[in-house]
Amino acid sequence: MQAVRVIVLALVLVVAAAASWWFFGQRSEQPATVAVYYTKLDGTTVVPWRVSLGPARDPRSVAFYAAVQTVAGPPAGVEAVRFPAGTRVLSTDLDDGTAVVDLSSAVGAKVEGSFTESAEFKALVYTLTALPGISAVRVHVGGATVATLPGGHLELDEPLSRQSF
Amino acid sequence: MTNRFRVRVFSALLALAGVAATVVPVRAQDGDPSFWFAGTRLIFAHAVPYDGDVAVSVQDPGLQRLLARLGATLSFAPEERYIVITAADRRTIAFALGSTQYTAGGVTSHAAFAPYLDGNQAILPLYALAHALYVEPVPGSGEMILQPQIGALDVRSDARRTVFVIRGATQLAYIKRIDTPEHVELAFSGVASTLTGVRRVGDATVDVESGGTAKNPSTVITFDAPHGAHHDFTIPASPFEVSVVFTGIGTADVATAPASSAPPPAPAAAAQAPATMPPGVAPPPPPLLGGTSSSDASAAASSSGSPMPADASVAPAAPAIVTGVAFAPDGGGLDVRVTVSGSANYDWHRLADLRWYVDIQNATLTDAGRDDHPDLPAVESVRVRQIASPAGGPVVRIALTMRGEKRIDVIPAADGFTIEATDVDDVAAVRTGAGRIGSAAVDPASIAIAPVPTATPAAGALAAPPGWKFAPPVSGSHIIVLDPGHGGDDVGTAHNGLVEKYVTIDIARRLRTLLVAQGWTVLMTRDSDIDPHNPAIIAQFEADGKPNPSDRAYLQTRCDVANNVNARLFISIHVNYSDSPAVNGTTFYWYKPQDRLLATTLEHAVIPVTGTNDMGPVHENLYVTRHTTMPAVLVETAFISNPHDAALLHTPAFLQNMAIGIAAGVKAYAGAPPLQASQAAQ
Repeated sequence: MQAVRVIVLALVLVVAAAASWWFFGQRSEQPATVAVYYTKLDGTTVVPWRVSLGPARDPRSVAFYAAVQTVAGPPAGVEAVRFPAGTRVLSTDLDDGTAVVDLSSAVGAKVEGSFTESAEFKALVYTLTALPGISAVRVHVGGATVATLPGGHLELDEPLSRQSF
Repeated sequence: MTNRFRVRVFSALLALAGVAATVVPVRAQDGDPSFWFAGTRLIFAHAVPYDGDVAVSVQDPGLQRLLARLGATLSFAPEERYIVITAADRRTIAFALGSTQYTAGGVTSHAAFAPYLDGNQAILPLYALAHALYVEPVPGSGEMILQPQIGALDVRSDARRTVFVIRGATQLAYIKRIDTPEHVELAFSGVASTLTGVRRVGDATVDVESGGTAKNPSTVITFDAPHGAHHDFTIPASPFEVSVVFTGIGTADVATAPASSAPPPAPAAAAQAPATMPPGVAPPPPPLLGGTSSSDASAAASSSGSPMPADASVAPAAPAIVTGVAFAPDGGGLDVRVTVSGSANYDWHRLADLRWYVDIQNATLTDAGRDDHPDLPAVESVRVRQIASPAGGPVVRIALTMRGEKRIDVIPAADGFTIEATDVDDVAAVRTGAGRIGSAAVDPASIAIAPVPTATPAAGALAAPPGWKFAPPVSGSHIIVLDPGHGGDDVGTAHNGLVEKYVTIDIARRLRTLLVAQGWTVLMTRDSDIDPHNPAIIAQFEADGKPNPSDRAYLQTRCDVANNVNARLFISIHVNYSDSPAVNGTTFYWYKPQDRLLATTLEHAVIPVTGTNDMGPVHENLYVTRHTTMPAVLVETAFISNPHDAALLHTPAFLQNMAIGIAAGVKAYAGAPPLQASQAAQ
C-alpha cells in the first residue's frame, strides 16, 4: 500500500514539473509585440504604442526592429515629432547593455532646432531602453560616431540614456 | 561548571570586541562628534570623522539646519553627479561625486575626501562645505565649534568713491563704536574673521581685528580715512552684508600691511591704467608694490619713466573690442596687426625664455582665440586669448614664442597697433613697454607699467591668483558669455524668410547692451558671421582620439570662451524648428543641476515680456550646456517654422523684448555684478 502511495506521489510531482516547464517556458519567450515610443508635439511627452514583432526574436533583431519602427514613426494622422524623411536604420548592435544604432545620413540632412532633435532621439532612446537588457543607446550616423548632427545641438558621441532627457 | 561557562562566555565576548575594534572602518573610530554653531548645538543624525573632515549626508537634519542658518540652499538628485549649494551671497558651490575638487564662487579647492554615495544619499565633507560658506571649525572642549566668519571684504573704487562690502557667514549684527566722517569702527558680534590685518586702500586704512571666545567670537573693523573724507552706509543687498561708501580717499590701489600671522603680500599683478583717465592726465604716483628682479625693474623704469599703481581699480567702463588680429609674414619675421574699437591701454613684456606678450587691458576679443605655428625662422608660435586680469577684468593677450632673442617693435596706430617681430637678433632688447589706443591718446611714456613678472602663465590661462586676498578671488565672476548660435557656414535653420544665424546674433547684441548697462562684462563667442573654432582644440581632440574632432571643436570653442574666464553665466541664443508649423513658443534648455534655477528664472522673466508660448525649462543633453562649467542655458527663443513666431522674429521690437526678458532674468538670478576684489588676501 505504501509503495503505491509513493508511486502516485512521484507521478503527481512529475506531472506538476512538466506543467510548470511548459507554462513558464512559454512565458519566457519574447512577447509577440514590442513597445515603440513617439514624442508628442509638445516635444517632451513620449507615448508608447505596440507593434507586432516579426519572426526573429533574438535581442539584436528585436532591437533593430524596434528602432526601425521608431524612425518610421506612428501611423499617419498621429501628431508626433518625426525623423526626417529618408532616415533609415542601417544596423543595430548590442554592446554590454548599450544598443548601437547606425542611422543613415539623412537624419542630419536638414538643420533642425533643439526641439526636433531632442524629440526624435528621446523616442529612440525610450523605445530601445524599454527592451530587456538595454540601458543606453549610442548613435552613429553613416557608420561613424558624430559629436552632434551637422549644425546640431544634442551631444551624440556619448551614449544616451533616459536620464539624458 | 556554571562559573567556567560564564568565564568562557565573557572571554568570547572580549575576543569579539577586540576583533570588532580592529575591523570597524577608520571613519567610525571616533564616534559621532557634537557641534556648536552660533549659540546652539547642532544635532546631526550621523556625522562621522573621516580623513580629517567629517562625513555627513546631504539629507542630515543637522546639515539642513546649518544651511538654513547660513541662508544657503542645497540641490542634489540621486541620479546626478553634482551637489550644488547656493550661498547667501549667490556664490555657487559645487561638489562632484568621486572628486575631491570642488568650486566655490569659481574658485577651485580640494576637500579632504571625495563626496560619495551611500545608498541614495550623497555624503559630503562637512568642513570643506563649511569653509566655502565662511564657517571655520574650531576645536572646543569636547566638541567642535563651527565658527561663523566675516569671510570677504570686497573693495571697488572709481574716481569719486570707494565701496567696501563686508560679507559674513550669517546675518551680521554690529554696533558703531565710532562714527565720524573720517573714522568708522564697527564691532561685529558672533563672527570671527580670517581677514585680520591692516590694509591700505587709497589714502585710507582698513584694520580687521578678531577676538572673543571660540563660541562667542567678535570682530572689529576700523576704517581710517584722511581729513576731508566722509562715508555713508548704503542698503546692503542682504542681511549677510554691510556696505560702507567712502568719498575723498583717492584711488583704491590696495596696499597690504599684513598681520604677522598673515601670508606675505604677493608681487603686484599686471598693470591696468585707469581707462577712465582724462586725456593727457598722467596717473597719480602711487606706491610701487611688489618685488621684481633688478633687471626687470630697471627695464621698466627706463621704458616708462614712472611706476604704475598695481591693479589700479577703475570704474567699470565699456570694454574696448579687439576686432581683428591679422598675421602677415615679413621676411623671416611676422607682422601682427591688431585693430581695436574703443579706448584701451596695453602693456607688453619680454620674458627670459623667448616668450613675449602684450596685454590689452579691459578689452574683449570678438573672435575665438587662436593658436598659430607659422613656419618662420624668427617666430615659433602665436597665441591669441581672452583672459581675465587678477581683478577679473577682461584682457586680450597676444603671445609670441620666438626662436631667439629677436627684435620686436610695437608700432602704434590710430585704431590699434602692429607688432613687428623681426628676424633681427637683439640680445639687449627692451623688456617692457606700454601704450594706449583710442581718441584719448596720451604719450605712452606717461603710461607707466607694472614691474614685469619673470614668468607668465601660458596665454589662455587665468592669471595666477595673488598671494593673499581681501576677499575670495572672484575671477571672471562678473563676466557673462553670450553665445549667438550658429554662424558662418553653419546657418542654422532657415524658414519664412529668416536665417537663424542672423537672428541669434541680433538678439545677442541687444542683450549685450542691456547686460553691460547692468554693469556686467560681456563676452561673445562670436560678434560677426563666423563659426568660431580653435585649431588647437581640434588638434587636441585628434591627439585624444576623439571622433569627429572638428565637429566637436566648433562647439567646444564656444564653451571655452566661458570656461577660460570662469564666467558667471553662459547663455546661448537659438531659434527653434519643428516640421509641424503649429508648434510655437520659447524653450529654456538646461543640463547640469546648477543650470536649472537659471533656466527657471529666465523662463519667469522672459515669457511675460515676449508673450510667447511657454515651452518651459527642458532638461536636455545639449553640448554647450553640458560642457560649460558655470550655470548655462540655451534659449530657443521662438519657432522659425511657426507663422506667428516667425512674424515676431521679423520684428525688431520682439527681438528687443526677448533681450529685455533675458536681461531681467539674469538680474533676477545673479543680481548685480559682484564688486571686483581689487586685491585679495588669503
